[in-house]
Amino acid sequence: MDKNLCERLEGYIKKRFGGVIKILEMSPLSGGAIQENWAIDICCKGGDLSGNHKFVLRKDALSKIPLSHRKADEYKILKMAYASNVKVPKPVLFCDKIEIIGSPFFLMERLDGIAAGHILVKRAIDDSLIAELGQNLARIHAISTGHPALKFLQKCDQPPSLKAISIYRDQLDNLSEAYPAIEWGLSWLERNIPKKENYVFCHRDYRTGNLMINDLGLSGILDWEFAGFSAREEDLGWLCAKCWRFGVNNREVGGLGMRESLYAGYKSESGINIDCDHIIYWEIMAHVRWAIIALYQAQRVFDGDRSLELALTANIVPELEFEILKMIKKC
Amino acid sequence: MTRKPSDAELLDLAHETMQKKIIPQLEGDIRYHSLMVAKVLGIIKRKIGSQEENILGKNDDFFNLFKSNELEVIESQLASEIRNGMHGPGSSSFDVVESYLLNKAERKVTESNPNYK
Repeated sequence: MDKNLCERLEGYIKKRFGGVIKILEMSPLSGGAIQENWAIDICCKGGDLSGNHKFVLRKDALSKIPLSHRKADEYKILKMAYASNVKVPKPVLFCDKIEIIGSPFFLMERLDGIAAGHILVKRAIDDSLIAELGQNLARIHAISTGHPALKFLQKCDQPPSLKAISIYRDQLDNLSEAYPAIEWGLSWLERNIPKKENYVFCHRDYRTGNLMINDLGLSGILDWEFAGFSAREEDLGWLCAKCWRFGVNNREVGGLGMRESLYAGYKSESGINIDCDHIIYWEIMAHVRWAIIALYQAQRVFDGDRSLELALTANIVPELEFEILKMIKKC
Repeated sequence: MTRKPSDAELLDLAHETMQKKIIPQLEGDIRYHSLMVAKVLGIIKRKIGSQEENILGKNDDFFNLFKSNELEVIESQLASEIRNGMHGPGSSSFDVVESYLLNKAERKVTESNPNYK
């Protein structure tokens, strides 16, 4: 980011918190193909932020996908989660003034740890970490769907699974090619709607890659841009889906550990017994969902985001289709 | 008798050069980007090497479900029919369609990621 931008940012932070603000360092963070994240180290003399701080600045990437929340809403969710004792980075400020850096953004505490899945899955299994993932997920699901921060989210009369199927069919219709294997998956999901599903507040991208983990365990849950109302089983299914195990397929919880620890942690916080078949349903749904997201991500190359990484995202669709078909055949 | 390398062989060489001579010398972001380029070279190499028509040729029962012999038209029609409830469990075409979809998916995975488990 250029010098003028840094000065504008310093000026804005000073306006909000007082004191003398100096950005010591600013560098892009890797990971996160949809959002842009920057590590910022600042020094504050006086004012409400006195001291040295390590922050993350988060803004939309060049071509945002329509499924992710506006920064203002994502920030409200982050604040709500923080206040609800969910492990998340501490929110610092939100700015909707385009003239500062060219788009709305927010600052949050920069957490210690690693989120990169390909590194985390090489660690030894830590059952207490997996249980902690279950506990924090249960805390997220315990947040009231009537919370004021969630007013912008649409409620739905249909069961969560039917709503998801309808959305994914609409999204498939907007693609230029047909995907019969994904349609096969959606048809199976429609024929096998779970009998009992309630809407809760869900993270909707709770997976390895969005979990900051340090030597003590979970340091924070990242990336709330897709949060919304759904079945609790959607979050559990997403976390356990094979597509998010980074190749360590025998560790069903995100390549990190075993289901039993996750479910035990979830139950210890919520008192709820997990129905395994219900989770498998949402794991199939997870593969459908990720396949559609991958196709939309690859589309961004034609919208001006000339990234080989994005173009290659669609390359995983065959694997996802294969898993959908195999899982259905097994059911 | 001499001949020049085919397109597939050229790609194979380019892929091998990236993997064995260039990438091992790199670190950090440039290594990551080079790995992605190598990945693309590998995908295209395998696609050139495989033959799409064989899938249709080996699936006469499936092929006979459709009037067209253009893959794109067939796939579009198939997707629409599945959405509308056709080819479901209990139908006479269920096994044929399921087999086609599985075989095709497996072949596509072999092209895109031969190391996939």
